[in-house]
Amino acid sequence: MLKQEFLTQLRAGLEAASIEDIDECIEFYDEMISDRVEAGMNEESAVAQMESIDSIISNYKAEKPVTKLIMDKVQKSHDEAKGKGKGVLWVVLAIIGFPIWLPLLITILALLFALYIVLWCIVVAVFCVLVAFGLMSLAGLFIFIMMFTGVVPWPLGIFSLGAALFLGGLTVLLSRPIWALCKAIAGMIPYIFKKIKKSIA
Amino acid sequence: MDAQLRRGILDACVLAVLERGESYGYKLVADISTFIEITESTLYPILKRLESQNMLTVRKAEYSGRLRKYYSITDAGRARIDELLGEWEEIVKVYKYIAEERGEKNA
Repeated sequence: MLKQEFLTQLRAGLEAASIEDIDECIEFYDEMISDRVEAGMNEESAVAQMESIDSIISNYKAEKPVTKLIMDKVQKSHDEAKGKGKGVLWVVLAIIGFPIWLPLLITILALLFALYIVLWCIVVAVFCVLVAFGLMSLAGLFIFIMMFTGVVPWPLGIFSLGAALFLGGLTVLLSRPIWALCKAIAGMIPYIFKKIKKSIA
Repeated sequence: MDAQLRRGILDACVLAVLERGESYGYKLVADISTFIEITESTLYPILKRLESQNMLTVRKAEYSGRLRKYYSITDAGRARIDELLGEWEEIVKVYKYIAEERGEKNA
């Protein structure tokens, strides 16, 4: 048997055994045979030195955890069912598993919605702090002006002016970083949800 | 030999050979076969597993107009050898104990 024939048979065997990284495995045996030929062996002898395809597959399976093998098998059967239009089986399974997956799905969706709301709340809260500083500064200025009418005693007016200047300065100083922070959080929200979607898929 | 024990020994053998320097599949089989029986079908899953455990790294390089994979040991791989050697000392101690117990009973 020549290399190409051996590799074709090996591919068929690996596919039948639901082994996922077939290309990598084929590359490995291709390299092994080529190295033997390079060392002076003829192609047929090099192939003859390889183990049987059954033995290769059983050694490969022996290394893999059972859970991974089952997952590969389920994935393969799912893909095959899709390919052959046997989606009915999966529809039946979805209906039978309905009492389990529906509450789980609702819980996950509720959690994601809560996370979405919380993240937007952070943005709004931070923005509100900035607006509050600005408004308090204006209020302080107003009280200071009222001092001249005699309605407000002068110590309170002076204190209000100080507070207005301090809060006004704070508003100006913090406006840029807070705006940047709000933009960053708002920008992160779609990114976080994309990541979650990707990890679920 | 017990499959689990053999697997541990083969892991150590592959890593020990790689500790000498970078190598490739065919050479690994040739080098390891001088002291323990190993075939391609045994080596391939071991290499895959050690790679997934970050105990070795793989690079592809062109050789004689085709690509060949070269394997190198990592620090985690070297640590694994130390670990296996430590475990082996324990196994030898247990072996000696069992052998002595048996000797005393047969005496």
